[in-house]
Amino acid sequence: MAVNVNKKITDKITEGKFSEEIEIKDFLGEILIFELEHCEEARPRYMDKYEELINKYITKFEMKEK
Amino acid sequence: MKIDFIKLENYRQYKDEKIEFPLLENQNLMVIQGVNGAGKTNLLNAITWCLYGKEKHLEEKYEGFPIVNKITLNELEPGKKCNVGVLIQMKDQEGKKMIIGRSLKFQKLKNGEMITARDPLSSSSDGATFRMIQQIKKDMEDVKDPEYVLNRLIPESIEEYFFFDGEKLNDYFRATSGEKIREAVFKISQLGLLENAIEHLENKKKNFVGRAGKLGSKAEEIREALNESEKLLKEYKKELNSLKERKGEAQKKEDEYSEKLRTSSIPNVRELEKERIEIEEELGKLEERIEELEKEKFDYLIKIAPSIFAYDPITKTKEMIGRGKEAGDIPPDYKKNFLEKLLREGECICGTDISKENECRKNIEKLLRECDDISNISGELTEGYANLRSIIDDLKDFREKQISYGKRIKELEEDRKRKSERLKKISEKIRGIDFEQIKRWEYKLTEYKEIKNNLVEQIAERKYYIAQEEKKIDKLNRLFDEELRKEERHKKLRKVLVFCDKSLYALKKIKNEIMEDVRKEIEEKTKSQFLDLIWKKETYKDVRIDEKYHISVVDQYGMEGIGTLSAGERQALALSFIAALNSVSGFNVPIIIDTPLGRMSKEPKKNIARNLPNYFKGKQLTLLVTEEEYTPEVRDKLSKRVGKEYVINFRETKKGSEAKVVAYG
Repeated sequence: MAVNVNKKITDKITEGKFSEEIEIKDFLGEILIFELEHCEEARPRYMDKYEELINKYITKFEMKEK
Repeated sequence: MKIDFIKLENYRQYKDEKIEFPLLENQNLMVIQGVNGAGKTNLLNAITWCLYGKEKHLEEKYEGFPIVNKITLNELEPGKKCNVGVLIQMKDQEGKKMIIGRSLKFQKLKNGEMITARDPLSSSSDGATFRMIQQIKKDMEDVKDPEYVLNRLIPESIEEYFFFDGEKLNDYFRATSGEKIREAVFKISQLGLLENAIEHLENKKKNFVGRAGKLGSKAEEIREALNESEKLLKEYKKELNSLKERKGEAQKKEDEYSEKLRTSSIPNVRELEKERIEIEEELGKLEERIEELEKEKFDYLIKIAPSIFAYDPITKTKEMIGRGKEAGDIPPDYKKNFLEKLLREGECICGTDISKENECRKNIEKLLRECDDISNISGELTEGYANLRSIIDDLKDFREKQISYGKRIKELEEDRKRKSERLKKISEKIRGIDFEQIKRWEYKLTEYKEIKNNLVEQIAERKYYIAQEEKKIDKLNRLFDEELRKEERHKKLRKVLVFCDKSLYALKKIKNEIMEDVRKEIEEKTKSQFLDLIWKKETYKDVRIDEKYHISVVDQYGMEGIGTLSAGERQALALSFIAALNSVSGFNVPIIIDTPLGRMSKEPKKNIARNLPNYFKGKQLTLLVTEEEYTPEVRDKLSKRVGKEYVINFRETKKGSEAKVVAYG
């Protein structure tokens, strides 16, 4: 039984003026989806997931830099 | 999410009942009617007991009595057991079921005494069995961590905004309720999700720093200091949350005993308690005003302090410039650049040739030498003179202002003292009333007030420590970053940390903005609904909710009018506020209101009956009403939205009381 997502949060991410060079908006979107999907679990394995996502965005950024 | 049905087994006056709820979208309003004492509030208690193991709306007459039905208890043979249970079946938007059940076994001993037969696997203090079963596709499966999952769906800390007693809505306007409401708004608007992301990202960042491998000696030192500070900060935050929770509990207890006194059968006690509530509200405002004035005084001192310390040099400089002005030296008679131009062009204004060495040229050169020094700073001196005069004038006001601040603060402090003394007198008077129960309530009220005040001090202390530690961590982070910059091999780590910081900044910004947006939205909705509901359309013009979530009503003269609201108007305001809170929340939880129209007179009752279902649009709404509330007019206004209508039939026998919920008519 899922909890509804508060649209205000996703709208703020989409409309917010954040750092462009690293895709922070996409990253925030992904971690919030993860938080939502796992909010019904008592102990989400967030450390691994966060590491995976951070590495993904840093690699993307480095590719862009090259 | 809607309730499909509730089953009650031996729960207080309900021996064996099943109440079906309406599920239709346009007819999801349910009315349960019953006389006072029939068991309406115990339906609310059955729900909170089932969900949280606590009867949150228990009336005093039931306090201390076991929850088991008295008839069952009397009929039970010695040595036998019986079960008390409440089961709630809910359905989500897709029609998937969720069943929540709590049960507790009782055993009758040979001497007739009743004891609880604890479930050995129970994690709750009363030994009850709690289960939650969820529909996954077509199967029903046990939920592994039911308390946790339930708390995500209907958090216990905000249940009172979904299941509430209309008669107690007044509590929202107490000066002390602001923080509680602010926290509820925080939870209700799902900001916990952002909180989790912030906490997890901060932990991940620490994890990156912690496993960064060998660093330079200074960076290593900073990393250790960071680690220690972060541990300390975590500890302080944990303590703060626990203190806040305890404060909330103490506040709730204080409110409960205050309500008992305010509605007691002794008129004098009722009056004294009302006076106490008013004085406490005024005291809260007084404290804020004193704090504001002290801050103003302090800021003024900080601003003026340099002038006080430099008073002598300032006055001397001003006098020197003044003397120069009087003597005509400032500004000088001749402008330096004018004399230079004459010498350059070789002709005086009188036409004399001064291109070569002669008496006239010598005179002009002498004048130039004399005015040279003063001319360079003449402009600054003239401007400075005006500034110095203004500083000295400000200093002349200093004493006056200090006296004025002191006088105003003293007056307010005296008022505070008078009010505090009056509060003591009120307490003494109530304790002096020859009625054991009143004395006991007053004693309890004082006890919880003291506990709360003590916790308030501890909370302030923790907040200070947290602010200090956060500052320290901020500084250490900057130093750590500087150290990492020095070595190329840490380039990647720096990138990761900068990325974490930028993301954390964005998350915190979003959280604060949403909090503010939600406040404004609730303010706007409360205002429009309240002005729609009330009958004195010309008297009240605005509703405001400030940053601390204090609610105020503004009358046609622009004055604060919450104190002048009648009981019915206060209830209308509270209903508007709670409906606004629910409509902006992300929670789709059924709403159950006990005695929603209790304090209303005839016309407002109709008005509210007409509008209330619209304010809770899309949500399953259950009203627990008395016959006096549910008049034919009210019934008529609600009829189109009512999906189910019940009456509680109540009977008392020698063995105990029994309530049956039957369809209306």
